[in-house]
Amino acid sequence: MTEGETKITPDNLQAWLTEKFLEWAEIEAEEFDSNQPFTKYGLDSFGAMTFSTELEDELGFEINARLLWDNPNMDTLAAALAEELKKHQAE
Amino acid sequence: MYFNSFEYIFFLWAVYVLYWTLKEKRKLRFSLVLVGSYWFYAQADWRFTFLLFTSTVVDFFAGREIDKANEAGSNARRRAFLILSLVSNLGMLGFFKYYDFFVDSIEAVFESWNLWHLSAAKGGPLDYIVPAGISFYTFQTLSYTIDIYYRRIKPCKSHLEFAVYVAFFPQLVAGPIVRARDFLPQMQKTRKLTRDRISSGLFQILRGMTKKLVIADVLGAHLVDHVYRDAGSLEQSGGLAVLVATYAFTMQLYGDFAGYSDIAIGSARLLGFDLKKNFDAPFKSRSLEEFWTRWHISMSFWFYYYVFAAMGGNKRGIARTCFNLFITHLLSGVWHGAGWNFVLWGVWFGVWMVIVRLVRLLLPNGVMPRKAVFSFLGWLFTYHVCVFSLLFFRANDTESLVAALRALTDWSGPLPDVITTLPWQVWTVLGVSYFTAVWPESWNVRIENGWKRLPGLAQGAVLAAALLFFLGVAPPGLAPFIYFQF
Repeated sequence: MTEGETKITPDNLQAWLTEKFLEWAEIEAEEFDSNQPFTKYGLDSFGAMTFSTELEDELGFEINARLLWDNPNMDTLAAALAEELKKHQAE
Repeated sequence: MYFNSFEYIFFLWAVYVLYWTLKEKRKLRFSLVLVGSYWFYAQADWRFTFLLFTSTVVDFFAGREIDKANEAGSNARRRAFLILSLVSNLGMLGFFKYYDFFVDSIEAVFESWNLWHLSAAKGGPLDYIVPAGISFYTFQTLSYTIDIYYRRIKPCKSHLEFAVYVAFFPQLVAGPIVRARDFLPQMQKTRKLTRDRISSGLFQILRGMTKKLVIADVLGAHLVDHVYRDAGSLEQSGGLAVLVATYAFTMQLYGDFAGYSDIAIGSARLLGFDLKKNFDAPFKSRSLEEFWTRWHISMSFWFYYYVFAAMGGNKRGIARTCFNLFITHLLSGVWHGAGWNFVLWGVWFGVWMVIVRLVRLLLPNGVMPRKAVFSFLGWLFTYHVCVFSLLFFRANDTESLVAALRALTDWSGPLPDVITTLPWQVWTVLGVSYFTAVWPESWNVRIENGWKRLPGLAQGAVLAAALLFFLGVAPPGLAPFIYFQF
């Protein structure tokens, strides 16, 4: 995250994550439903590998690509990632 | 110098002691690691160090120039320096790893057309050994320049730190392939030698040694090598023995390479560096895609990130996705080695990945229903696609490959000696290794936590006992790591 950007917290994580995913999947916000599986928008396990790396760079901690695979839509992923973020921030 | 040798243990111990003695004298510490890494690499052949040095110098320079061009907005210039990096790394890799294979293949074609005299006039193969680790460090430095090109990272300012990143001995020869943005920031951190770090590093090394010496070497020496010795032994062995040996080879390869990766990660951890997991219980995979997120993760990431995604990934329609998948796996096969068996291995995975992708089109949202029966079938299929892919890996030549395939279809003969006389200890190793490979992850965590809770003296006693055990069970002589050849 560069200086001047909003700090990512468990509370604003879903909004930030959605923005990142829309960018990654090259789709518009109105085409996206956070309840629908990521696969509907083209995310496969390889996509999960590259997307999770991009998230790692911004969040600053290691994210297993399978977290995206095991939490197959935005709502569940955001919740799982918020837990990871809390753990990391507590360390 | 192999990781599974006393020489390496002494070397690591010496570097470790000196490294932490130097406290926060960063330059001296990194110089020590650099000298140690070049010395380690020179043990294979001192001449190879020139290639390592060349790769380091070219990519340090190219990275800096690409960044300058990025800042100046000069597309032509940034592209020119990326091409310089690509040509020098891939040129070096192509020449040292593939030249002989290419010449041999051309000669075979000329020979089959009775034009051998023409081919001979072009000069034969050079017959040199492939420089150790060249596939790994060239990919590592390529990731550095490509990431700068795409403005994902800034170039490293220190020659010394960059040289350590390229030559870092724990992962120099067989990975994991580490990206600069995961490694270089760690060099800026203040390092502290904590009990947890020592304990965890030693645990990784112990786990790696167990995988290599108890699983890989025992299965290799007592079973796999007997059956796969040559085409004749494969034919004599019959279907069951070849099948059992192929299952055993799957575990041997896993033990060998995951063992190497564990030792690399543990050694790096002792020096204050954290490398990412390279294997993550691959035999639990319920789909081929999942398998590639669990097996040789750093390599599959490299191919998916720098090849598959760069070709458009899955964003340009199904036909293009299938093409990209096939090419990515074909290149991954070629990366593994200069031989038609590796090309076939790549084709095998490429074709299966395309088939799986097409089958996914029939499933709702492309996902297999989350039911136990589908998970089991998915696991069974994935596991066997992987097991049979290793026929291409293990068969020494085309004759052996054909013999293995023929044997697998002939189950008529009596049980061969290699199976009936196989010691129970080897069966135990095979069974236990598969069991531990698929048991719940929480058990691994529990074992590691248990180890960390042991007092230092008890840990020392366990290490000494393990060493004696390794000396007792490991076959005589040092078996090199299989992935060193790549």
